[in-house]
Amino acid sequence: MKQNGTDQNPVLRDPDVRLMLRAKAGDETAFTQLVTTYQVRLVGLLTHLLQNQEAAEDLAQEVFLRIYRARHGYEPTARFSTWMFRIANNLACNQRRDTGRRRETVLNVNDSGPLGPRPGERLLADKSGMMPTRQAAQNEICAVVQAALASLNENQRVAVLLHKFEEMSYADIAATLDMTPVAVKSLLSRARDNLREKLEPYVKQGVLGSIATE
Amino acid sequence: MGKIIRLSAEQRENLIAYLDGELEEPGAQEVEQVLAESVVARHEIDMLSRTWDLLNVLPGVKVSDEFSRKTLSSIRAAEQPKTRIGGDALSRNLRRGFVLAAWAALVAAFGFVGYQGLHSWVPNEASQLFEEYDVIANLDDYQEIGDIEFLRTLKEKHTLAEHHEPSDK
Repeated sequence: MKQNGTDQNPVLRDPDVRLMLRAKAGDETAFTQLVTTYQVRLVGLLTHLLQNQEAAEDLAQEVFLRIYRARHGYEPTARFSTWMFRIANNLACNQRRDTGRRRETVLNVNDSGPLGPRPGERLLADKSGMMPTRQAAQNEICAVVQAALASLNENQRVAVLLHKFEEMSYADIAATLDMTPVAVKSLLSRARDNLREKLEPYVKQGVLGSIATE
Repeated sequence: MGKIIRLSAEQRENLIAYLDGELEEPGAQEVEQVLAESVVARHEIDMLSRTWDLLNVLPGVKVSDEFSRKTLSSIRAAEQPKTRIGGDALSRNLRRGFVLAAWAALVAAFGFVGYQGLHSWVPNEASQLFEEYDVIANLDDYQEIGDIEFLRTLKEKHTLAEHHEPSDK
């Protein structure tokens, strides 16, 4: 039986891989579509990694530039998002190494989800008619969760963000971080233990828990 | 009431993988059994779930509408100079090549003309000797005759030619 390209390479089922292949063939609109699709998610991830949105936007542009320059030699071996986040993570690691320090971020709690609008996300900011006390409590939770996330090491943080907000499987996270899925399982286990350790006191306070799950 | 058993590191990893839907069937059944039997495990999974849910409050980022336009134009800007520089370099090299070739041709032409001029217009000792070979060859006879008028007379009577003819053969 004759097999088509998609059967031979399951990665080709990824519509974004197909867009990238069109970009490789010289279709500029396909590349524009990729930028439009991923810009918010990429900037979101990088903002949490670098803790600075302006730096994240600059780095996101660099990621897209790297992808654009690599288009002629592009060979689909993974989902497009996996490939893109791997580039992003490598650049972010380099940047963190170069700067050697963390910078404070000013995040607007009224913005949408951490990595941009996603199906099923719950946005506290969308809740209307919040009382000032509730708003203050929400700001406190945000600060606490951000601090808990920031306390994780780089790989743990990336794995958590990719798993939580990109809904990536262990296998895809492994491909992004150049690890084995078994190592990712341990990594996420340690990350979630660390998060639990930091956040448990707040979870046990019913008010904070009720806000977070509203 | 469930047993209070501390979970091993492997059991904790499996518990989290189970929460994430990443545990294969035999392992998943094992975790379900532990959950059914252990209060600690049930508490663990509850706290892990709730702390995981807390991440939903993380603020997101807004990317301006200009971001994609800026990104795409910066990519074009980063690519364009490379092309233009490449084109400029090519045409500059070509121009330089043409200028060098023109200079080389000019130098060669001047060289040729100079060489020819040297041979045509500047007296050459060898060619002068060649041209005056007849006089030089008979110089002893002419000096013996001594008188120019007498030489002219001999020339008019072709005596000299006859005299020299046998020696040419």
